[in-house]
Amino acid sequence: MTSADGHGQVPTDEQAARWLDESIEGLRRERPELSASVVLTRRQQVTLAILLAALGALGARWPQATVVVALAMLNLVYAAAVGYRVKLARSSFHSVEDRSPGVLHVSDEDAMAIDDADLPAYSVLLPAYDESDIIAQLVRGVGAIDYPRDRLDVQLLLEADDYTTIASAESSDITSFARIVLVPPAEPRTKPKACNYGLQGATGRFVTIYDAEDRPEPLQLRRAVVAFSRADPEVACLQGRLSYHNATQNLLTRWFAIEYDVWFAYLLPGLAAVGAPLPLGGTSNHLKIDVLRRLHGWDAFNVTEDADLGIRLARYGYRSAVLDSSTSEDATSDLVNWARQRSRWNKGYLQTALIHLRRPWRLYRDLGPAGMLAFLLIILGTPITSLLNPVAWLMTLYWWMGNPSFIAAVFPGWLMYLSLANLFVGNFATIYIDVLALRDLKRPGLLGACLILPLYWVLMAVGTAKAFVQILTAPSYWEKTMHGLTDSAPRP
Amino acid sequence: MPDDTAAPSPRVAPAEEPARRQAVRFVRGHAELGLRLVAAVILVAVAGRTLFAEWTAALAVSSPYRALGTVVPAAVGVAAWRQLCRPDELAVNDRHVDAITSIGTVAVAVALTSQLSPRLRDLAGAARLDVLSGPLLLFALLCALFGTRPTWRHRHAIVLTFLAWPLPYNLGASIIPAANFGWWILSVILTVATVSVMDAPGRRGALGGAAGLLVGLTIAQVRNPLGGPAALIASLVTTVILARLLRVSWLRLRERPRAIFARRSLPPVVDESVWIAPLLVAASLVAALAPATPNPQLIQRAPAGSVGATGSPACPSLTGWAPTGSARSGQPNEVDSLAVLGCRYRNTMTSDPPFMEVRLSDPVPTSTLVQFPWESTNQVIGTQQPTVQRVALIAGVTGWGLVFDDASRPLTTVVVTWDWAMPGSHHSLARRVSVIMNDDPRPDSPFPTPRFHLASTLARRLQQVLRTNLTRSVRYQVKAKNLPAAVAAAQAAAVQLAAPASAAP
Repeated sequence: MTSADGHGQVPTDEQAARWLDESIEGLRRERPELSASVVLTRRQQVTLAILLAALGALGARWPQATVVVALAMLNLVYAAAVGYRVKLARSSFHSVEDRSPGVLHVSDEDAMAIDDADLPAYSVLLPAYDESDIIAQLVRGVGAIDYPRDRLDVQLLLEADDYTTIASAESSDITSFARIVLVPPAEPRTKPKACNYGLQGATGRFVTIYDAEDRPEPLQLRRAVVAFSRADPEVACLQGRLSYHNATQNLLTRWFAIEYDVWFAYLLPGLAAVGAPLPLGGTSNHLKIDVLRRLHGWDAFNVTEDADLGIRLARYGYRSAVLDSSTSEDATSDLVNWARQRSRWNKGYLQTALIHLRRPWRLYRDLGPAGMLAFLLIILGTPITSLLNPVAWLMTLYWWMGNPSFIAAVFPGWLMYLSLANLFVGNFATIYIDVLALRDLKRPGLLGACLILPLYWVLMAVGTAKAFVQILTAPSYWEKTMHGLTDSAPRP
Repeated sequence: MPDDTAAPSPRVAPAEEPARRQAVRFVRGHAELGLRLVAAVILVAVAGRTLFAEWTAALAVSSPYRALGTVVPAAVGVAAWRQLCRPDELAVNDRHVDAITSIGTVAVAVALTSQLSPRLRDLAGAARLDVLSGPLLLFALLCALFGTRPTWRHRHAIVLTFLAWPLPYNLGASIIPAANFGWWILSVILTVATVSVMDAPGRRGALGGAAGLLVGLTIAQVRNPLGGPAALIASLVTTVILARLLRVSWLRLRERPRAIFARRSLPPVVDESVWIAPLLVAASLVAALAPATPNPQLIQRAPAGSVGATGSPACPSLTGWAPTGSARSGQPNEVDSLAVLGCRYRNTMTSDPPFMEVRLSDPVPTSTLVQFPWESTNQVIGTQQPTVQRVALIAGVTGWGLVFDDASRPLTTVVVTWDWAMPGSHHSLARRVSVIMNDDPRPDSPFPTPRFHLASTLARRLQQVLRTNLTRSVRYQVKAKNLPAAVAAAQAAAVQLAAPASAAP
């Protein structure tokens, strides 16, 4: 099934079938309540139906009061989500000397000080699908990792029927340091399924994932090894920082870069600092492989398997931390491509929220109050607030244009002031945090784009609306993001 | 790796094609493009023949606005140019994104159309509600029909249509007879149809374009009982669905033999976007059929001595018609009567010619369509060149007086029109008040006979569907002989309407 070069395990047909079964069914078989193979359980469906019916009945009986209460609740959710993000970011602002407690730093000297013979075996999974054009980029990026080759277990995970990418890979230099693993075609065709397949034959003590277009910092694996050795034993995952090398390609990439910078440099460390679960990024998360196997790997049916894994780690009592090492990626520079990617992310957040909220009390006991708050406001709050934004703006537009009576009726004074506070203070605070972050990160080139971020939120709403449609129609469908749309040189 | 599971060999990339073959492809590509352009021109020329005629006529009049008559054709030209210069684009498209973008844009367009403050809407005597909503509607249509990417490619053409804002509206329409909202909307549909033909090659594009055009023309001819926003949404959805059905049906028709041979399934005729349509149409129906609420201010001003009261469940206080003493006493020899008609239902007068009409669509949501000869008269007026002057009505209120001398008949028609806003927080209750007078001496004569032709009919219908019911208009038609008489009647009407609204700007 694979063309091995001496590393890893070459599965027989029987093994391949077993691996595939484990990749798809492992989590569903062992912990079905944590699998996204079913988004809404029967119990959730009934609960949702009862809630909707109750809402409908209340709306029919007291329409105005019902709408007022619903709007008030949504406003509170919005205010809480914004306030929480501000709090997280505020806790992470730091100078170079006063480092954030949520980030693990390993200096270059410390990373290089460890002897090659003492380094553990490290598995690197490179899932790729329909990426024939950027195999060369993959070779450059991952090939530059500074780690003893005999300790590296690099697997390029390709779908067995992705012939063009296979051909491109076979004709490239990647076979000099990686083995090509062909994942048998099977539904769902998702990245986590491929990663699970690679996990079966992985030989490292740690494992990490890179996307095809990633350019990890060369010392990242060494830093991760040192950080794991220094961290508490319950730290099972280190999330590297992600950034974009084509941030200035166009306005969309500028916005995207701002979002990533704030997320990975401030919000994730903030979450780590308060002991909340980390919604992991899609790549550069370094995991202890035995822990990952104990958790049955990634959820093959979840389209943000990374965020879901972060929550599951926390529920099993493990912690995640942020590693101060960056991986440079391609920000998608095309609007439709971006919208599809964003829809997948938000759909995955919704999936993750619905799965873990099947037993809310159990989730609360697993995560604790801080973790539960983070879960609700980040995992569930992100898609909801993203979808709420345009609705709120449209209502504001209506009000400014014509003062229609129906808006006056459902916005009593106290609610109007709360809404206005959300509109002006909330949005201002979000932009202000981003401006501060850019200043802190010394990226003045993105300030202009930062000031018009509300336009980006409009685009986000498009992606989120698509996510809400797809969570009903195709919950596990993986919206493929096309990479390699930039010709800019990587940032030095 | 076991051999039996090895990946099939990838296809070897073909060697570079000989120059001759490339040349053939180049010529063939251009021939196809030429055919598409010819098809587009024919489509536009045949369907819009009268539009071109009116456009030419519009350019001939001596008006500062006449140059704006070129804006929409220029937009079509820009769209064609962008199509010709189409750069290599990503083949990443998403129907969900297209639909969401389209629906969101329509929502904003409807918001602008139905709620824009009169202070903006009626600025400079030209209602501007379509400054934004028109181009947004065009954007939404293109998005729904062809997708976000082609729409973005044609953004320059769409932006250009912002310049056409004086075209649709009353003053501009009075000065440039051919330039009215319907004309503009038809141009938009033609733009869409043209882009369709050029964007999708061959018959599929033609079908899509023809579908858009067909739906536009059909909707224009149907007296739509729904309100403006509802009709807007319904027309958009219908256009999208029909275009897609035609396209996919054509695909199935073409592919069926091959599919049977290859034993593979064909794409469904109805894709998932169709399920959005019933929701939107249902929402539109609910909005349009919502119970009407009479305007209390107007009820208070209903003449106390109304005669011929007929009553109405929807609007019991606004009934029948009533001569108004103020107007009569002001110019007893020249103004015969002034009457008020109720809201939401047709004129109930059967014995008297409807020489006066007040249309109250506010706050009744976009449901009143009263057909009177006035509409026809408007078209006759619209083909004349009036003399225009500013007239003082009451303190702080001035209007435009337009005098039309109909060369074909011994008639003089006078229109006095002005706008104001009602007081209070709901200042969206703006009214366009028109007093229209005609000196036809025959007691039972209607207003001038309508002149039916394609453009005016379509323009009128589309105007009714898409705009008229959204403007809170009050119209009077009276018999009069000259501008002073009309002004006097207008003053009386202004006094009457403004009395409870003295704080109006």
